[in-house]
Order: sequence, then structure tokens, then C-alpha cells
Amino acid sequence: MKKTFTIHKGKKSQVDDFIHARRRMLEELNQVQHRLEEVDEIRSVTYVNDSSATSVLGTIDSMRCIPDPVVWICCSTPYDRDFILMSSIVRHKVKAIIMCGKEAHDVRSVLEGSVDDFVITENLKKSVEAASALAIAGDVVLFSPSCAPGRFYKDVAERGEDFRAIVAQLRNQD
Amino acid sequence: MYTTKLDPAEISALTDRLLIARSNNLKKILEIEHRLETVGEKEGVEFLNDSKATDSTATMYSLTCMDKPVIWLLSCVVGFEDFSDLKAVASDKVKAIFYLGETNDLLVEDFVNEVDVVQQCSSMEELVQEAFNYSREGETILFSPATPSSDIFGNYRRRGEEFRKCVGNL
Repeated sequence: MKKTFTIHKGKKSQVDDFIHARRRMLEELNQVQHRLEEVDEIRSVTYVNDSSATSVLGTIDSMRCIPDPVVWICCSTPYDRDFILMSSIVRHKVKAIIMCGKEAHDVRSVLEGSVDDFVITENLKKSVEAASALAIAGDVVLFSPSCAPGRFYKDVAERGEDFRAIVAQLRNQD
Repeated sequence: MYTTKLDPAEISALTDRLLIARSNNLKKILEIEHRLETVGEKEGVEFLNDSKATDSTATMYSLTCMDKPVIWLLSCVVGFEDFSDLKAVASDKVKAIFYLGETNDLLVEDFVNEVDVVQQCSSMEELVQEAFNYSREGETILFSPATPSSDIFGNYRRRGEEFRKCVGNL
């Protein structure tokens, strides 16, 4: 005897709901803010906001997505991070590291040999200025802090907005 | 029931291998050329190449390592003119400053009371020559640029090589 399966009318609407919810979630995934977001292009240098990268692994993923030479702005944190994980990708992709914040000596000892220029600055504004001085046409300035927003910012969004505002200032000076 | 049971010896063998690989990696990373490297000595004056110092914190470390009077050579690049955090270290160690690149009024202003001479030079040969002329026996000439390298020389290795070559020519 041939069996047939029919979806009950009530059940069908349940399935539809499920699919709708799933589609919504996928769409929301695409709209994640502060993740590899192109902010501006000044003198053929692209400024990318990746404030969502709250760990070393997040930054590694972001670097994999960028084909051009990278000037990387990283933020300092009192917590330990394992930068050996990224020494090889830094060697291949990154031409300069700008550390924002003074607690940067752990990073220096591990990653300094992999890049040409290693600069420590006091705040984000100075970091962006240093990055714009170091980047030449075709480079990407990547703001990927590899740490939680922590002490200076309320959340990732606020940190990203701060970066955007500084880049906008840079655009006005240009 | 499946359980994954590992022999304690096996576990320690695994982790030992990881630890060895890791310490080898670290050793490789910590060996950096052009960092406080003695490149020559002439008439009792020692020449140190510290081209890897691409910012002022690195130079601060190098200056604190010095025990003899220092003649400090640096290079100035647009956008990285501020060396005021080195003032305290420089005042008791550094005798003279010779610099390469852009004219830097801020540097002169900051250090004119701390050291005897602040002088601009137009090329690496001139820089090394001037510093050597000024130096006396028992002093150190330290090339620690405290600025990124990409502007004039391309990278720190080329910058260090250039310095080495000029010292060799003396």
C-alpha cells in the first residue's frame, strides 16, 4: 500500500514560520556591523573597521580576507594573548603594526621580527595618523583590535564609531 | 561505552613535543637582526646598529642599555616628529644628536638643553662621518632611528645595511 504524507495545514504554517525565521537570521548575519567594514578611501588607501574582532582568531580571519598589504592597528589589553598564532600570516600580509596603548611589550617581543615597522602610540587618534603616514597607495589600514572593548569603550559599536569619526576627521584634513 | 583513555606517559610525550616546538618557534622569533648589533670599532669608538628600533619605546630601551657616553644618530620622518618621551633618558646618556631626513624643529627645541649638539645631515655617509669626527675614545655611536623605515629606505634591513656599509667605508 502506498503511503502518502501530507502536511497538515496547521503544521505547514509552522514549517513556514521556521523557514522565515531562518531566513531572517541569515539576513541579520549579513548585516553584522563593525566587521570588515570599508569606512573610507583616502589617497587610494582603504580604511577598514573591524572593531568586532575581539580576539586574535578574529583578526586572523579578517586578514585572510584582505589580499592587499595591511597596516594593522591593534589595541593593547592587560590580558594575555597568544600572538604566536598569527606570526606567519603577519609575516606574509602585514607591513606595519601600530599598537594603540602602552601595554604592548608582549606583542613587541613576539611579532616585531615579522614586520618592517612597529610603532607604539598612546591613543587611537595618533594610531590612525601614524597608519596614514605609513600606508602608501594600494594599502589597507585595518583596525582590528584583537581584544575586548574593555576599559575605554562601552561596546564594540562604540569603538567602531570612534574609529569612523577619526577617519572622517582625516578625510576633512585631506 | 566508548572512553578515550590515554596513557599518562603518552600524554606527557605529546605535550613535551608541543612545548619543544613552541620554544623553538619563540627562539626563532626572538632572533632579530639589526637590533643593538655591533658593526665596527675604530679608534676606540664603537658603532652600534639598532635599525630595528622603529619607534621611540624601542630606542628608549636601547638607550637605557648603554653604559658609555652615546652619540645618537636618528632619522626624522614626517608624522613622527615627537621624541619628548626620550628626553629624560637622553639627558644623562646622550652627548650629541645627529639626524637624517626632514628638518625637525621640535627635536631641536626638546633636546637643545639636554645635549651639546643637535645637527642635521643630508646623507648616511655624512651622518656617520660627522658623528665619528665628533666622537672621542671610549664613546659609542648608536644608530637607533626611532622612526619607521619605509619612507627613505624601504625597510629596516636596508636601512641597517646602509649604515653598516658607511661604517665599513670609514
